[in-house]
Amino acid sequence: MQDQDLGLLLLTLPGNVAYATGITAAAADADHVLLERLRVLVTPDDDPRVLDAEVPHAEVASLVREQAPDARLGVDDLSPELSRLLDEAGIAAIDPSTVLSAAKAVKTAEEVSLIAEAQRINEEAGALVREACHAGVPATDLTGLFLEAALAAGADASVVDPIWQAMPASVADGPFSVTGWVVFPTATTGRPFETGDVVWVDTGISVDGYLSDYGRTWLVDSDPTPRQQDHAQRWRDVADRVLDAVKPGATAADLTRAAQEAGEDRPWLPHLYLAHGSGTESAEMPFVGTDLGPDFDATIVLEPGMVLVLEPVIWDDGHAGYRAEEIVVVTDDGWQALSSLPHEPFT
Amino acid sequence: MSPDALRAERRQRCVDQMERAGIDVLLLGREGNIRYVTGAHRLWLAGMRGWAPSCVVVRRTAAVHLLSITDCGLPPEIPADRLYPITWNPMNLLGAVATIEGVADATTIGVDGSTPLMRDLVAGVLPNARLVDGDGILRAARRTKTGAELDALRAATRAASEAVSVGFERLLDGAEPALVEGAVRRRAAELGSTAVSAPIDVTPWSVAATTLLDGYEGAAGRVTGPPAERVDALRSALTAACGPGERLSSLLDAYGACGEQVPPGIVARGTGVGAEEPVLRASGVRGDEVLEPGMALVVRAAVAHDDVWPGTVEQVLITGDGREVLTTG
Repeated sequence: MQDQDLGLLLLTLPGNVAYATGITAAAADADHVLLERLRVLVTPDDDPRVLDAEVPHAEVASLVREQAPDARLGVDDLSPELSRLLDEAGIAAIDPSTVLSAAKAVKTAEEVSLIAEAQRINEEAGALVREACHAGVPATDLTGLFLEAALAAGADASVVDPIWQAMPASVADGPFSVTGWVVFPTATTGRPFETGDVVWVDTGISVDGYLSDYGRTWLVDSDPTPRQQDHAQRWRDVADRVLDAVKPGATAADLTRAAQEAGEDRPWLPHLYLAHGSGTESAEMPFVGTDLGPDFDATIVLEPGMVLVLEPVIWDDGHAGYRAEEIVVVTDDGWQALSSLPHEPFT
Repeated sequence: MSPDALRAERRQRCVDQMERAGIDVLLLGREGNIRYVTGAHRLWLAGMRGWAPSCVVVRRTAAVHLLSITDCGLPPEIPADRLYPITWNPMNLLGAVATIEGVADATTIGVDGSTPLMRDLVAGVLPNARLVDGDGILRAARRTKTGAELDALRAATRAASEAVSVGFERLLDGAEPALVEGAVRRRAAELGSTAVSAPIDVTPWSVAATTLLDGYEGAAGRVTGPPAERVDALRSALTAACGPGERLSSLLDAYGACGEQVPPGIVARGTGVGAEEPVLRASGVRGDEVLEPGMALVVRAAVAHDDVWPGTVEQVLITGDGREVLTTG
C-alpha cells in the first residue's frame, strides 16, 4: 500500500479478503458468495475492519469518507450503488490489483505448506479416480468419486467443477474454437468415456483457503502409443527446461524463452499461460506467457516464496496431445516441487 | 416447455426490463445474471471473481454475446459470431466489446458491477455512454419464476433430495461429517449436479444441501434424533408463514412462535439460477419485502442443539392463494 501511496483499501473479492484477514469464504457458487460477502477496510497501520453483508453501501461509503485521508480508495469490486455513492462522496476509486498481486505473489512458509497439503490431497484423490476412468463411465461419475475421495482425504472443498475432458484428435474435430487453438477447458457432462480417449484432467481443492492445482493426461483403457509417449516426453522436456530457468531474479520472459529452446513454438494454450501463481486464488500473479505479451513478461521477476504452476501443452494436431501441471515454490537458489506423483500411465 | 422456450422467456424478461429502464446495452459480469440471460453451461468455479464484462446484451437486436473461446455448452442463439475471446489485456477486452453491433452507439449502458479499471476503460472506449445500474433490472427479471423455471427448480430439488438421502443414510450409520458430505456430493454428481450453491451443512443430526442442476438450484434436508421433532414443527410454521402479501419477516415471527432462536446466517432467500435476493437474516434487515406469487424461496429450519444448528432447507413457491413446497421426500 505504501509503495502505491494508498491509505485505504476496501476489499470484497474473497481471495483478497482471505489474504488480508485470514477469513476464508466458503467455496460456494458465485451468487451465494455475493450474498454472504464480507467487506474489509484495510489501512497500513490498524487491524483490518470487517463489515458483514448486511452493512449497507451507504454506511460503507461514509466509513470510507471518514477514513480515506486523501479521498483516494483502493477498491476491488464496485456494485453499481457503491460506485454511485463513492462518486457522490468525492472519493476517487483506484484499482488496487497491483498492490494486492505484488503482496500476494510471495508466500510465507505457512502458506506454502498449506498449498503443499492441498496438493497432496488432490493427488491422492486424483490417483484413486484414475483407476475408475474406463470406457462406459460417465464423466460426471468421476466427478462424484473425486469429490468423495477429496473430502475423505481432508479437502475443505472443491474449487472448480472437476475437468475430465476427452480431447479431439484435431482442432477441426471440434468443439468450435474462436482462437483456432484446441479448446480447453470445457465443462464436464455425463458423456461416457470411450476406449482410447485422451483425457485432460484439471482439478483443484482447498485447504484453509489455499488451493491445489492438479493437471494430468489420462488414457481410457489403452496404453500410450509411441506417438503419445513422444508427446509426454516433449512435455517433460519443456517442463524441465522451464524449471532449469526458475530461480530468483529470472523473469517470466526467461521462462517462456526456456520453454521454446528445444524448438517447440509457444507450447502452451495461447488464451491461458505457460505458468501462473496459485494461493488463495486458483490463478494469480505471477502470470507467465499471457497475451499481455513479452514486454509484460519481462517485468515479472521471480522471488523466493513465489508459487508457480507450470502448465505446458504439447498439441499434435490429428493426434491430440499432452497436458499436465506441476507446482513448485521458488527457493533462494532454484525451486522445490510441491507436486509429486508420476504422470501415469506415461513414463 | 422446452429449454429453448425457457431461455427465450428469460431473455424477453431481460429485454423488457431494459426497455422499461431505458438501457440500450447491458454489460454483465455476475455469474447468476449471465446464467440467467445465456443459459450457458459454463465451467463452474467456486467464489466470486473480479468484475469484467463477460456478457453483453443489446436491446435493439435482442442479441446476447458472450466471452468464450468456444460455443461448446452454449445454446444455439449464441452462435460463434457472438463470442469474444478470453484475453488478459483489459484494453483488448473492452475493444472487443466496443465492436459488438449496437454497443458503440449506445447512450445508456447498464452494468451489474465494475472495478475502477473497468469503469475507466468503458468510459474511454465508449465516451458518449452513461453508465447506470444494470443489476436492479436483472433482479426484477429474476424475482418471480416462469412455469418452465419452476419445472427446472423441481428437477434440481428432486436430485438434491435423492443425494441428501444417500448422505443421510451414511449419517445414520455413524459416518464422519466429511464422509456424509462426500456421499451427498457423489450421488448429486452422478445425477448431473456437479456443483453446489452453498456448502453442504452436516451436523451429527442433520444433512442439508443446496445443489445446482442445469443451472437451477435444488434444496433438501433431513434431520434425525432429538432435534427432529422441533425442526419439523418449525418447518411447518415457516412454510405456513410463506404466502402472497406476507412480509419476509413473518418467517422470523414463525421462529418466535415456535420458541426457537433464529440461527446465524441466512434464514430465507430467493432461489432460481442459484442464490438470489431477497435475503432474510436474524436482524430482519430486508424483512419488509412483500412476498408475491411466483417468488421461490429456500427456507431454513434450524434449531439450537448442543452448540450446533441441526436443520433442513426446503424450497417453497409462493402461489396465488398460498404456497407450494417444491422439496419432496
